[in-house]
Amino acid sequence: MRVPFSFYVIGIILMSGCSNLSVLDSKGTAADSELKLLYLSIALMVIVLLVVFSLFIRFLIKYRERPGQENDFPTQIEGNKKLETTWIVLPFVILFILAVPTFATTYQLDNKAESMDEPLVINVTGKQFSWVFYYPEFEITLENEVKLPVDRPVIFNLHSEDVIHSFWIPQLAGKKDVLPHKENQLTLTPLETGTYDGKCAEFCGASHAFMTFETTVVEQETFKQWTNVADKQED
Amino acid sequence: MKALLDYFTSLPSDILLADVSFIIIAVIICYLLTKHSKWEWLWGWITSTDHKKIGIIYLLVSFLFFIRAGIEALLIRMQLAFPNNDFWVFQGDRFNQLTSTHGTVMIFLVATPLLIGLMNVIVPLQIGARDVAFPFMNSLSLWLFISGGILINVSFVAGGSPNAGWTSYAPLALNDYTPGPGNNYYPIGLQVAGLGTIMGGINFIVTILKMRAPGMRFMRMPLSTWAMFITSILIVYAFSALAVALLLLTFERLFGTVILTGGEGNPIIWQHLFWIFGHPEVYIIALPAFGIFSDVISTFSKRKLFGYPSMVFAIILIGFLGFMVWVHHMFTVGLSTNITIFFALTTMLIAVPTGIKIFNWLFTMRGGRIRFDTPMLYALGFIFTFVIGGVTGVMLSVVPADYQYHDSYFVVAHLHYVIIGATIFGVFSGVYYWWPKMFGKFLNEKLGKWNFWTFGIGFHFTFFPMHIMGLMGMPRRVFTYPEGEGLGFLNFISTCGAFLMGAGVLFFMINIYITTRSTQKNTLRDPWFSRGRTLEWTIPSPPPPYNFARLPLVKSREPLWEAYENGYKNIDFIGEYEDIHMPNSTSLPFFMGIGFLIASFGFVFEIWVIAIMGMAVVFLLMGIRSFQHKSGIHIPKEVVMAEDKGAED
Amino acid sequence: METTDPKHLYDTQQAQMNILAFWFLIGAEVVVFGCLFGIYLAVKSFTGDGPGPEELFKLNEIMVSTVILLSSSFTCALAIYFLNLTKKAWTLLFFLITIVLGLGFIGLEIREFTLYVGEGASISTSAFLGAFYMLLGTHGVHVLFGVTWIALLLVQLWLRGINQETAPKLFIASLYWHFIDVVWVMIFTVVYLIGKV
Repeated sequence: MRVPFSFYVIGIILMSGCSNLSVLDSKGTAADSELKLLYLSIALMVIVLLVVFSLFIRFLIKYRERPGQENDFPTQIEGNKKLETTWIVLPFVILFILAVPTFATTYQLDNKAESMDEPLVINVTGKQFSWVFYYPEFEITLENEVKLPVDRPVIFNLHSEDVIHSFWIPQLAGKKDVLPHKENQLTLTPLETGTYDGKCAEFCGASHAFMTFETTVVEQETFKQWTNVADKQED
Repeated sequence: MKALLDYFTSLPSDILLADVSFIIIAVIICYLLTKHSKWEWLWGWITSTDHKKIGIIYLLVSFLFFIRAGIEALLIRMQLAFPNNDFWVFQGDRFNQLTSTHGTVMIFLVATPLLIGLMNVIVPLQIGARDVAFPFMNSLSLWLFISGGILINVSFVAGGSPNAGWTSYAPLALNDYTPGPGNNYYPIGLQVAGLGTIMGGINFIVTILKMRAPGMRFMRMPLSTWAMFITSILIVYAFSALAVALLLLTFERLFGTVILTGGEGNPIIWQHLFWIFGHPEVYIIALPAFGIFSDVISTFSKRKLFGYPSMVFAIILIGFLGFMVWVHHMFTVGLSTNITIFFALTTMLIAVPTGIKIFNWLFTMRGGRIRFDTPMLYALGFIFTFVIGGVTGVMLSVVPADYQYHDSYFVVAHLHYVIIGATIFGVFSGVYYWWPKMFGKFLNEKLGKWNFWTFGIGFHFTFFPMHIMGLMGMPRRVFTYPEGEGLGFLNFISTCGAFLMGAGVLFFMINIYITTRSTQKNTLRDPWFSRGRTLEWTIPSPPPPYNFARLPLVKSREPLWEAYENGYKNIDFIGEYEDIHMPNSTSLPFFMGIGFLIASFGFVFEIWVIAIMGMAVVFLLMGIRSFQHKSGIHIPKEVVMAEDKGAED
Repeated sequence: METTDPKHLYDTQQAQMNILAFWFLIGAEVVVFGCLFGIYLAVKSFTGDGPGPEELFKLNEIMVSTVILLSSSFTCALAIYFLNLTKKAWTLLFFLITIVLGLGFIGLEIREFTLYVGEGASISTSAFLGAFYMLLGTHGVHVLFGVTWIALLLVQLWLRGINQETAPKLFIASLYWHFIDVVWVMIFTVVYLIGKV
């Protein structure tokens, strides 16, 4: 049972690239850099899994008690300094490979807003159980849907009216909590047009499951037209 | 009468069902106790200060809670089996009550006390002690745990369950958003249970520091004992942080402070306090399991534990680092990048001592003669499961990737791999391993294997798909999901797996029933192929109330194995037989538990008279206890001698 | 049991274990107060519409409480000194003074709180005040518990004399008392002095 199962594990990981796994199908800059690290960590961890499981299976088969060995007691050893040092040092190497890009990307993601060129600012208000998007630039308000132009950097200023929510568009960027006492920022640049699901990822009450919104990324031209039309409608 | 009837007919069907089954079970239990005239026997257990009996009650009660929270898990999985599903009453708020109490009960009232119970039985036996340092406090810990447990467990039929998640984040858990008594149960019930746990932790620390048998140096202690020692230190410091968090929540809900509100305060304070407790808690429930596995793997591979000093070192390091990683639960909160990076680093570092342990276990098996009895099966299942849970843990420490995993089903998968993989597998392993010691009978091996394979396979079918659901963008704690996102199939598999796990637990219960009914007695001292290693296998099964008729003399790390190697039948016991002093049994802890229960109901419903009355009972009993002469009872030398001789034959 | 040899008052295994256990309990209490201080410092500036520390605190009166509690620690230490000499009457006397001082401290604290509430600074006025009352209240309850505990032990001391059963209990209670005092010094510094400056 054990052997086929570990193959099943690896199989699923390999297979996962081609089904509708939104996190692995990134269409935004933030999600892109997160995905790169995700793949790096999976690759490193698959190496770990392979090493551990092959030793595990080998030892189980080789050293199992065979019939007639019930009263057979092997020699006892305390340990082995060399081996033990090996598995203290090796994890450090793996962690180092993982840690450096992790730290670099974290700084880069957290400090994006300053370096942005002409960003589109959107003020997002989360409340039980809906999202309100306000474009200060055009004075447009949308509820439970947000429209973005492709290839233009976006800054979401996140704020909550009541409890804590979390803002998540899996294909564009990872989560950022939406807090009642403090404003958070999430930055990203959508790279492809299309419609993406957005959701609340922090448990926020009875209808938490329904606190979703739709993100539409359109061509810059289309976006400009839309802002003009929407502006007029507001007036 | 009519009003009462109206009230009952107005209840939702699930609560009605629970009420009715409560009553039926209570009546049946009373009937059986009366019929077999067992009330006195029951009272004997309730008032006992024997660490073995207390441990067994711990195990029994937390197993009952396990069944309850397990049924909740099944209901959760039923609701999530299909997209847009409407199962029974469990949508929206009722679903949130299910997940909240499932998590709360499983962590606080199942995982923690199951291990504490098992260690209560085993640690004194492993260090050659006749009891724990504070038998009275041990009993008090038990009854505080039961009081707190009862509170959390009856909440859903008395005023509504907590529904703000097992983490009970503010401001959702404050009066403005979740009014009523439901969320009062959470801080108050856990406060009572947590107080008991802190006492238990102190008790273990002092027991292990002060009551080891002659010659049992620190570096000769079995790994289970080592693990429980470090765990106890974690308990004392982590649970006191929880106590403050719960006190704060109580103040917010009952006394109107505004520290955690969104407007005037800062709700993140709760998250910090909760996780300063919460992450060490993960190690509190993992380390004892690591200890159990170390003993089990060594015994069933017939090999000395590989690298004992580095195993001990790893436990200490994990315990130490465990206090410095809490922010990895809060990466998406928007704290400063430097803080985030620091905690990512410490989180990654924990992989090192954990890796040491995994490889040492593997190399313990190498060169051995591995037997596949049920305890060992669970230990092997643990290695397989925990390694998967461990690597997803490292993946979660990668901050940017965590922005994607966080609060998604990926995390649900990870935490169940770690907690079930370590704690529940560990408890099963330990229970099968030490059952003959506790009760003098083997659990049925055949049923044990059925138990393991159904539970283990069911486990992977339930939780492996959750990794993928997380990557498909399914947030945790949602009670439904739309069609067309491809989530239906995986969720359905997961639900099927959950029922297979349920079947596994049923096999376990059948096993206990059959074993308890059977008259087969195993009076063997050392039942597992007569090759035990540690002190608990040097005394009769079940052990006499005083455990050791004469104190053992420990000359090495594995005294019993050493004795066998040198051709002896048992280790050396030193000294003469003497009168043994044992503590009295006492009913005070039980009544103190009741006092706390009354007071807690007063607090939950904000009826201050009842709260004050309950606390008065508690303090009165404490006063009485202070004035009691702790004389205890003496077991005469002759009785001890006779029993010891009887056991030898 | 009835030995009164001062050298062996704390020699029993149980006494040793009790004292050790108590040190760990104090460790837990350090975490408790540490967290409470943390909460207080985190929300200190969140005064909302209510008064801040500068307007609220009256240092002179707090100095009185501080002196009272510190001298109670001194009398407590004296009591233990006489306990170790097995001088029952002196032990009783100094513990009684300790209790009285403790009660005086509680009285002053209650008065202080009533004054504040009268000035419109109640527990729900602001996050700062909530944290203040929680920290001070927890400490006050500890003092109250200590007073009651020592009183009960004094009854035992009076009835049973100084022996291997009563002496370790009183010693532990004195540890507890000193600990509460140390916490007060912290409160005085962190809450009152720094709040005022």
